[in-house]
Amino acid sequence: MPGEPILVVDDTPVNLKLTRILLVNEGYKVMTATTAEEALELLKSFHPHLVLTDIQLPGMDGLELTRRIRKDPNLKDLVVVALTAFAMKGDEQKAIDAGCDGYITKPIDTRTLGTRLREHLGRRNEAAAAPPPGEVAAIPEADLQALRRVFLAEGRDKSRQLLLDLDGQFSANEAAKLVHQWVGTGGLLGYTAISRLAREAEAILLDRPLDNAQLREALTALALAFSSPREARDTPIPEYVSQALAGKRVTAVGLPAAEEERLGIALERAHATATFFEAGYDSLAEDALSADLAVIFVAPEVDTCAWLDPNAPLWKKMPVVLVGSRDHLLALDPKVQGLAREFLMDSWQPEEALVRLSLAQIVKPSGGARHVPLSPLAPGARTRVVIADDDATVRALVGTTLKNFGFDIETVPDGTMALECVRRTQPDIAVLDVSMPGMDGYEVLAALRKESIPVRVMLLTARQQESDVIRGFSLGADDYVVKPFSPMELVARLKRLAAR
Amino acid sequence: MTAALRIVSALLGLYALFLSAIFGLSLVRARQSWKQKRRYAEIEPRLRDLLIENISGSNNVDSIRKLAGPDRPAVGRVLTEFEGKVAGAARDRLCEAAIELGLVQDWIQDSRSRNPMVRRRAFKGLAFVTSFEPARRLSGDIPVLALNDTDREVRIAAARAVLHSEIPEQFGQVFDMAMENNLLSRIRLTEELRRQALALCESTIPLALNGKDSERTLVALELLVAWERALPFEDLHRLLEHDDPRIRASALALAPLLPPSADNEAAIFDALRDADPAVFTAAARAAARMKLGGAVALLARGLRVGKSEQLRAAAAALAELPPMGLSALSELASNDNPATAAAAAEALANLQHGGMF
Repeated sequence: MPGEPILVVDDTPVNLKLTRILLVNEGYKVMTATTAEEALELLKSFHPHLVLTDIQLPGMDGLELTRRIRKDPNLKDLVVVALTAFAMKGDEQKAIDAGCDGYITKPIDTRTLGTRLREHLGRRNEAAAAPPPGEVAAIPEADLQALRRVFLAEGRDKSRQLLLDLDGQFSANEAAKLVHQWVGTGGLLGYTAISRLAREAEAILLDRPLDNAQLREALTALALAFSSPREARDTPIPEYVSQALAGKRVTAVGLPAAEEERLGIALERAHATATFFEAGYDSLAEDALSADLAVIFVAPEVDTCAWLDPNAPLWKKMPVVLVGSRDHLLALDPKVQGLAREFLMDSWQPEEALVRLSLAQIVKPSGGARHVPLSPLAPGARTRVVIADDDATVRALVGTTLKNFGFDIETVPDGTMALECVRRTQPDIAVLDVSMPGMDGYEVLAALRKESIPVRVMLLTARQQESDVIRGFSLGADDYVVKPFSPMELVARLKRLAAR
Repeated sequence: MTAALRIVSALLGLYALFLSAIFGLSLVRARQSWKQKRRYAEIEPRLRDLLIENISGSNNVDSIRKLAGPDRPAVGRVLTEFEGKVAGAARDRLCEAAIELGLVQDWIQDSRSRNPMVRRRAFKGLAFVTSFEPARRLSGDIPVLALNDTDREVRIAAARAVLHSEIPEQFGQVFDMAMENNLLSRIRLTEELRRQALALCESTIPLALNGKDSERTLVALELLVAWERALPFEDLHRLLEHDDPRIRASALALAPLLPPSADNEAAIFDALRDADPAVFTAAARAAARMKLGGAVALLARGLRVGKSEQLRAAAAALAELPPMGLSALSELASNDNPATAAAAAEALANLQHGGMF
């Protein structure tokens, strides 16, 4: 509720300032403290409704602060929310045991912080009246840029100093504290890569005995990330993603903790909720089957689990997205691969996850409300694509990308062979280059249309003049993609084409 | 005498030894080169597959490094094969891999080589990666400085790097380079310049079009027409009325790509009365493309009185301007002048068979 007082306790100035700006913009009255002792002093005269405290604080930590708040009869109604960084195992449980009402995982998602605090304040029913999520994180751009500049400059200097200290006097504990701050602040300011690298460095710093070589590598990566940061994430979620995922429930199975966290944060941004299950959990359980979408993590230890049985009811009830390393996904039973609606591989980014999940949600299965394809796909069948290009690199690139996304592919190096191949194999889609030896792409397309072969045709060419594009479509092409092309865009277009 | 013979034979012996050494050395080098080529041929397809896996999301830089071993240039060569083929995040991943593998640093170092072949390779690599911000920061102003290199191939590669680097201050210099007399340079830079058309329209293009050198103006117009894309400037009136018919014809070809303006339309109508067949033909095409209904009467006149090339252009333009253009064509298909009637009938037949102008 606007005007409610909140106390934020964090020893990182950038975190503190940014959280303050966010909450003030939400209409809260915010006080800040950099230590637990200072917070306790403030609580004698200031009576907030909620305390948002970092667990790791210099001197008295956030857990001790919570315990003291709980012991004080004047403060017993106070809602205490802990900020954790998933760095230490069991942080969350410790927070609950100490008396916290809940916890928020760092990096904080600036778009959902307000909603989460409102939930903790027990005013979920007022959420509808809250400003829409896009407007919640209305941090003045100038403030945000200034904070980012300071964060990067300090991070660059301090990470280099840590590297220099490695050869002399080095305190792993002090370094861990410093790196821990970057986990939260990096995420908060939108530098997810820095946040991830800081988390990795922190894990190495807390491990004993200290692995110097590994630590040096991690700190070098961190110093490089500060010197050349990826663009901070501050772009809104595309409309179609929000539309596809808002309010949806996702069953997530067998994900490691780090991936659970990434997926959870990503889904929160799209206003979807995830329920996480162990791989060993009964796949027939009602709560698992009542979701709108399933995400299953594929690893050697789980590939025989019931979730990945193609006859499991889950596959018929909802679209399934498979997550895992490329090798594991490719090693899966082709039948299971064919049933999966989308794949998330290796180092996927939260934004990519949202796009894939929304695609899985949008594209209906062949037996459902999907448009009747030219050559109907049997349930679970894979889309067959013929790729014709005289350039071996393009053939390999398109072929590998499509294979990774569950397409069956066949590649040919010229137009004449393309026509033969399409006649012989009757694929769902033909991807044709225009400039090819023998018959060019236009000639192949014209021949296919003349023979009324039921195949969708995409032209993939460097020719981008208006007259070329018009010629392609007038000959009956279903889509036209210009080189250089984005493989992801190509896959999205082919999926749309296959679903038509 | 014997002493002199001895000296001569010793010298000959030394010379023969020298020749044998040279021959041996070249044999060794040829063998090394052959072995390297064989190794490249062996590892390059595997490197390409690994890079494709990398694009697909695999973190396999270590595998690439391991496979390439000391032959890092092979990775660079395979990586630059993706130029013109991938875009977006896939290209960024390749650029990131190039940094991680140390290729960008190699290219930066090689950009200072005295050997033009080495510099060409270096700038080819830099041109690929400079679209990626971190690589751009690493390469700094090296591509800009190389715009004045003595080797033309290096200059072209550097120009492409500059255009990818998004340094608008240097676009003008690259545009000027494209207008050099070398047609090959122009062709190779036209497409790259097309992507920066908006920035160039601010000052570079107006300057080039309004210069006093007719040849340069003509080249600039040809370059813009080749882009075949909408351009945000209107000031074409002066060129549409230029004394040089070649410039008038090229300006007419450009007119449909500019925002509509009354001045330009009036100049197109004037050009439909132009005695120069090339200018008339260009004006007819422009009128058809811009759907200028007011041009029907002038086109019909051109179809009645023009020469063969003009007749066909006028007829084809009228076919693109229904309904008045079509009724004019139908009327002229039975004209007394057999050339006029034949051109009109041909245009109508093309229209019926879906022929395009």
